[in-house]
Amino acid sequence: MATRQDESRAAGHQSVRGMIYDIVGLGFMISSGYFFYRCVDFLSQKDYVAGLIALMVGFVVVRIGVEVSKLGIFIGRERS
Amino acid sequence: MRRFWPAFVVVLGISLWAQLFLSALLAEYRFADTRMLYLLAYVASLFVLMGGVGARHVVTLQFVFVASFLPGLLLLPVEDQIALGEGWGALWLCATLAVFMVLATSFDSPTGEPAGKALEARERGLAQDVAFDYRWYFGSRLAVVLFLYGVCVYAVFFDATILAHVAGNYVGSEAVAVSFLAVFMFFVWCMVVYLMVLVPTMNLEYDQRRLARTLEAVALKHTPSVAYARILGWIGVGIAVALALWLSGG
Repeated sequence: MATRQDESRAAGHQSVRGMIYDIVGLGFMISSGYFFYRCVDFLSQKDYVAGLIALMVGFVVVRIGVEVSKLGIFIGRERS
Repeated sequence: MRRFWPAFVVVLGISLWAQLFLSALLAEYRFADTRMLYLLAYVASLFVLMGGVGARHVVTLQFVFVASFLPGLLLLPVEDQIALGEGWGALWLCATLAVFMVLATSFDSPTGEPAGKALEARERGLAQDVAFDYRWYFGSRLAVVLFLYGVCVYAVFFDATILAHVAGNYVGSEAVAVSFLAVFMFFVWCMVVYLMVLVPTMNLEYDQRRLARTLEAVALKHTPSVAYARILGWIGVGIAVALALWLSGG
């Protein structure tokens, strides 16, 4: 009985961890919007190099968000 | 129907190219001294398109083909640039580009096996679990990428600061600059959706197994203390870089 409770508690922890990772990943993806906004801002000022750098940072931040969210899904699945 | 998709992609690619460069190319032929550099810049995209379709290479079609427009766009006469931004021209161009991007992705799945068959082969519970994960995962990611599209549209068309910068830096051609920014950001958004969001999330099961294998390999090579030391080391590097930027006034 105690073992089943422990397993249930561990599964709950995994689920919460997965959810936190997923929220952090979504946060990364949403915050990448700032870099795309800055990219347009730089391009409008004819600062093309800065625009390109902001764009690359935006790409990387989106990718990090996706990877962290994937990790969240995997951790959540480990409960089963 | 699927076997006609390469033809659709070619037609859409040529349509996209024609909307951008056809009038400039015809005008170039009317000159007594035709400039070879301009001709090459205008027609280079067609070679990339044919190469991409022939090789069935998605990255060539979705990235190299679209990027190959840039030299031609830089050399495009001002009146043609203005014509691109007038009326429904920019919208039609964006719509053609969007449909082209969607159709070009079809080259990425040569097997043709319906995805449902793979799911049927799984056990019922696992399939439901996967379906739930995918539904939540793709639904939330779709909302975020739509939000990013909203950010780009707001920045290009509605943000007062950016519009003031455009008016100050592109005197006399504000409408063209806004149209170019819109097309460019739409292209960027398509790239983000496909390369940064869709492709990395297409095969969660495989990625999960690969991650597990990698972790096992790492665990065999390093003790937990080495792993923690490495994580702390990277955190230290991050803090040092942030401090250096802050101290240098960046």
